[in-house]
Amino acid sequence: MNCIDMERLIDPYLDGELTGSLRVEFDAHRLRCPQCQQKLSLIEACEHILAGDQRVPALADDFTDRLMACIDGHAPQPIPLHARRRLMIGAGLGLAAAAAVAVFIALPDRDTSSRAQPLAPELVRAMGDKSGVDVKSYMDSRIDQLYSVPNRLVRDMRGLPDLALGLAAPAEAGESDMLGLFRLLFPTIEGPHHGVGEPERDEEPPVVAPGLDRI
Amino acid sequence: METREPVDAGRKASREDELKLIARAKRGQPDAFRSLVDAYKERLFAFVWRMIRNHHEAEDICQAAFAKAFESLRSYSETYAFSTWLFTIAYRLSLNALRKRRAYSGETDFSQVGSGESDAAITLASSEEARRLRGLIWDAVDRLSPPQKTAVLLFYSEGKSCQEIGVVLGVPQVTVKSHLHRAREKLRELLGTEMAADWLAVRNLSDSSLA
Repeated sequence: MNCIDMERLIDPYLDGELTGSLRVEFDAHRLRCPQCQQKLSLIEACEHILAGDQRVPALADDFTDRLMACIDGHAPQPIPLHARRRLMIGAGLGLAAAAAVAVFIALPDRDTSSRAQPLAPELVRAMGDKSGVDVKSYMDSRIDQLYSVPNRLVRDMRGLPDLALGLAAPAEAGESDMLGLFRLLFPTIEGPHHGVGEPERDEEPPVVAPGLDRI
Repeated sequence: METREPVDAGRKASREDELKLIARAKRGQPDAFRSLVDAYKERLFAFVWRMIRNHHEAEDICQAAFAKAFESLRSYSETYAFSTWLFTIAYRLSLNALRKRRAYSGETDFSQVGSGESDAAITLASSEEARRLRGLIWDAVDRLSPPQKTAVLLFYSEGKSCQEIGVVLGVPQVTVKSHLHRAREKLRELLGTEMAADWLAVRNLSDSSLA
């Protein structure tokens, strides 16, 4: 170890972090080198004086009394137990009310989801054209039938792919796709309609829409 | 938290007793806080006085530090030693005082550093040489920047670890080590020319100070 190495290791040595072989080499160099020995002794002496010299002016005898007198005058009063309980209950109620308001605000507007969607204009016209049928009464009765005949509904649903192929025919006949689908799903409506999965025998076979022949 | 062996462990209340006192003081019991004040006032005053070098001003700062500690006692966290927290408050108040005095800059205004005043207040050793060397060392410490001086005082006089000193200064531990390193270099530089021929006397002085 040379003087440059020793210079670099002075701080770890003074901090008590120099250990092992490095510490051994450090001590050995210190014994051999008068300049490094002087340098280290100087700083060690400073440290000893700084650590050991406790001579300071005496603190006034009434220091604590004066301090406590000042503090007592501004001491925050401890909260009584009963008041603390009331505070906790009040805080709890307030939190619960705030949570309720937040939940109420965050809830979706259910009215919009349950509001009845207006029927398509062409569908209303189509229904109105069917000799005075009470649309609402009809819809209600039809819904009741659907609920009461789940098997028939399942059968209807199974036939939908074939029915979809037939949708092209009503459109070409000048009727809207929606009306055609409505007729397919609600066969009691007057007018030309296809039976469930079966085309009318008196009608021409449906024209398959372009592209659907490959299905 | 890492803590070095304190210089005078007998003066410090045990950690457990201290925590009990703090808990009672938080509940508003003034006698508990009085006990804490009595346990730390001497050490705190020594630190502040060495920073400020003015007796009355140092006393005022200590009063303000304790008052501030009392007001903020509810925010004290047991993560740090109470002394570390207290010294942090005192350090910041001392810095404010130094700034107000306009003695705080990169280079300290030595004319404001009352080493003569401190000598008059201190009980001095009979040896004239010891007095001269001791004065040189403290003058050299007074020439350090406040962060370096604080690091030196807390490290050697208070026996605080670099981690605790970092809390007081509000800097990382590695910065504290840098402060100590630069302080030692500066002390060697300032004292080197003065004491080069007296280094044996310095060594004898340091040995006698330990006795």
